[in-house]
Amino acid sequence: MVLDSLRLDGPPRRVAIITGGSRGLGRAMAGALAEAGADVVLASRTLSQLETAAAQIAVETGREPLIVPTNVQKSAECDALVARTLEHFGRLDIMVNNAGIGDRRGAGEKIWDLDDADWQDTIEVNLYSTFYCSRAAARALREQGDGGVILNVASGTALRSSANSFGYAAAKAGVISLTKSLSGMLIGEGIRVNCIIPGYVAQHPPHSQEEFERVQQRGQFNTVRRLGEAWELGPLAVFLCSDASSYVTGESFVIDGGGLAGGIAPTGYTMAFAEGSGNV
Amino acid sequence: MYEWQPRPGFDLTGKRALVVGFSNPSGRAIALALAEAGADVAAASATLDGDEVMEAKRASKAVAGLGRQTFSQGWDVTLPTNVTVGLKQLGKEFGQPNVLVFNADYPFARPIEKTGDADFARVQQINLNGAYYSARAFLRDFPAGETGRIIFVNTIFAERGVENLTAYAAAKAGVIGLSAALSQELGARHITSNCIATGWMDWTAGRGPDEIGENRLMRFIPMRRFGKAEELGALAVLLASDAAGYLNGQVFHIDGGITTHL
Repeated sequence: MVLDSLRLDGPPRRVAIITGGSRGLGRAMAGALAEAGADVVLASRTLSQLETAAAQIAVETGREPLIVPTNVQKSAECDALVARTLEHFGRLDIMVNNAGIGDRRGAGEKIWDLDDADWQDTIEVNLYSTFYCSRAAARALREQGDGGVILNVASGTALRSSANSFGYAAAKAGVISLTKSLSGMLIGEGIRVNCIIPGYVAQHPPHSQEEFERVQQRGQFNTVRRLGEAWELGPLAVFLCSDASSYVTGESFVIDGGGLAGGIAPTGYTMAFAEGSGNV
Repeated sequence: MYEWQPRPGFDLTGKRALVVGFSNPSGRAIALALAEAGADVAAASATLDGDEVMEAKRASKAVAGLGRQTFSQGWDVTLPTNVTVGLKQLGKEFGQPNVLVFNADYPFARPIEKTGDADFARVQQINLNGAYYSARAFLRDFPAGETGRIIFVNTIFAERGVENLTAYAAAKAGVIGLSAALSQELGARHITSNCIATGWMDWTAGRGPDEIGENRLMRFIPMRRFGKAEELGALAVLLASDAAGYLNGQVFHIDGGITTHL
């Protein structure tokens, strides 16, 4: 039955790691996966934020997430994240590679001003991290021997010109490419690899009237006249991490309100031809 | 200060869905998935072919078996008036649907120089004109302010070429264009439009034997098998739900990895 296929409570109960899982989109997806029955492992750099997120999820679901402070730019820390997960929960089923930073050093700069270190940092935090965690997860899933899911998070900026964050966009384009190649490599192991490509999505509810108005205003430029809200990624993540998507791999799911389906005319631009052209 | 109001992704309680097209197993599978998730589901055949009309009836009966409201109709989606009248009647008997799933499918494979005018026209009429007429009729009586969902069940043949599929590919590619333009036209109205692109399914005509050893097409699919109708249900449920308002204008592939395959 379709609703059963969307559950993650097993048996066996699925174990999901979410990098960047303490805030924003990662936190939203972690909450949704936990609600669908998974045991979740939250990884990010800041312990206090991990503790807060874990406490909330524990209250919401009655199950305690594991928290593992991790810098996903470090290969060894990604390996340790998976090892700690196996030690604590005894298995791994789902790796959500969500960690990434858009407005990192160098964002907004022109290419002639950008130094090597800024470029490397951007590529490392957004692309290397996905490689490190995917490799660590693939090793564990392969050894475990009953398949699994890798879910990457890219960005709509990877698919269009993104002059103000071209390093980020390039790294995320790399994530999309990695998704496709790894899907082919890992399908023989029963591991599905997919990607979510978010457009403009607010990371948290507005904290002030000023922020509320800013978000409202930015939303007017989007097809659906609003920005996405982080929770909207939750159901999509559950679908892609569960058996409900059993015939889906190598695929990137855009969630952007329709921006990428349009974007060749200003939002709300209405085509109207002169009378007599046969197309009024 | 401000709170979001998340809505459940897989609960369609209170939704009224219309599934059009029962010539292949995905119509029934999606109708039942929507019903299982709580929607009332009406079923309309896309042609007056006796088998398809009966299949729509049987799907409707199965929906009733799940305790949901339902209604079944025989449509000919190539006739715009028929579609309009069908939806008017549906509005009276069942209620105005707020989810439209267009699943009409008329596969056709022939070399282009051997494709007659009538063949070509028939392929366009069912696959593309039918999609247009159905979406238009669905929207004409759509209550202002209400949340709506349009889902076109489409195919990878719309985006990738296979020999002998010229007429079919053109029609199905037309559906993608229709959906993309609709997504922009409806964006400000809480109505989304998306396509689900199916890959090689276990009913796809011309797929060859079902044993992998004898089928080089199947060996070419990364998942080494054909897709099943039941594997389309969950995405249809997600796209139909109130949580899916930010999924818009896209083509989502359920294809065993074939379109990413080199």
